[in-house]
Amino acid sequence: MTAGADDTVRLWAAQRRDDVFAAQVDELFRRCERRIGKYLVQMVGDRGLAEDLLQDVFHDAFRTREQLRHVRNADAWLFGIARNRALNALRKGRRLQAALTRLARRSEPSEPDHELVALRDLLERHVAPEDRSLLILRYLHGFDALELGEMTGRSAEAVRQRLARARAKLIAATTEED
Amino acid sequence: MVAVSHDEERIRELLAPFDRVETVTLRRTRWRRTWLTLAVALGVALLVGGGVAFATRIGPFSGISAADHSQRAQDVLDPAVVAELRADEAPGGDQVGTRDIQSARLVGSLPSGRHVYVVTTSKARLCVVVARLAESCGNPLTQTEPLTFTVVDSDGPGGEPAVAYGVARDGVKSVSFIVGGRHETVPVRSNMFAYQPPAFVTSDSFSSVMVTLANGAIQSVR
Repeated sequence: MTAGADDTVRLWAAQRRDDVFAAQVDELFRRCERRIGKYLVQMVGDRGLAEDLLQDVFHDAFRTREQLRHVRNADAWLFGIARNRALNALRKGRRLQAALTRLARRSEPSEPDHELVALRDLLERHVAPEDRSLLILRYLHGFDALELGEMTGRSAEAVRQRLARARAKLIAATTEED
Repeated sequence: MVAVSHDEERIRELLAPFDRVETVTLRRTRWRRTWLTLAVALGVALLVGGGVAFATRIGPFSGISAADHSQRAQDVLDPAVVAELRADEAPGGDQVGTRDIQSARLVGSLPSGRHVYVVTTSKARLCVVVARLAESCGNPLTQTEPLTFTVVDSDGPGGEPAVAYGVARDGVKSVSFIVGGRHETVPVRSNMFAYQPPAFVTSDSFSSVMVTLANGAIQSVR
């Protein structure tokens, strides 16, 4: 029963082995933090909420870091976690629409970027959050269909089809509004 | 194919305003700044205070407020515990060094009631001693290694249950980990935490240890 000093040294050594993945997540976050942060702002539109989500992504990544053993593209893995967090937040946001709208207004810059506000409005009205996420990850963050497939658990072909439908929907919406 | 390319080009143009959004970063940046400020403030206080306080705060008990006081009656180790510690010391000395029995400070107790002490050594290591149960020694706590985490395995059915415990630096509010597939969070009180799992577990059952700081920041533990 007694765990002497030697036992403890062995225990700590075991934790250090586990830290191979912790160090990997650390390095990954250092590399991707700003991109992930930007993606979250693009998705949820509220900087305070995006900051909270970024913390959650960091926590999730550490908690599930052993998955890195089987991951081919670590950046895509991390963006996948961020995507799930953003979509969950948006789902909750629908339930708390009024509160979130107030929050979003409060954190808008004093001189809003009208083009940005119009784009967000257009996307929110015409493109589902999942599709919005795919469009942003594909066209602003450069992930290809294969990587998006890994993030979403779909085949690359299914992602391509979904992207095509999302593109068509967004283009149709802009034409309609013009 | 041409149509797709044209569509893609159009989508990129449409989404272009999103490229202007400013990113957010982890709160750890602010946390580091806060700690830097605190470190500077502490440095000034130490220079002013000096003496014994200085020696204690920069030693193995640095950052452990619960141990930062002169020895009280309840801090004194039982002779049987002292004998155990002496018996564990390597005859020719080891990387831990000789335990400084006078440095012992009581920081709390386990769910079983066993007392938990911190003890320094001649090689400036920090040891966490649980009377008649376990001793774990390592480097003093730092911002990157802000806690000790020891698991004593269960004795099996009918025996003493497993327990996880440790000492954390000031500012650590809680400790989170995964045990047996469940995510658990344990509060830190007076620089100490303890957790008794509901079912039979071994030290291998614990993983993903993280701490939550008083300012809400989350930090993985090395």
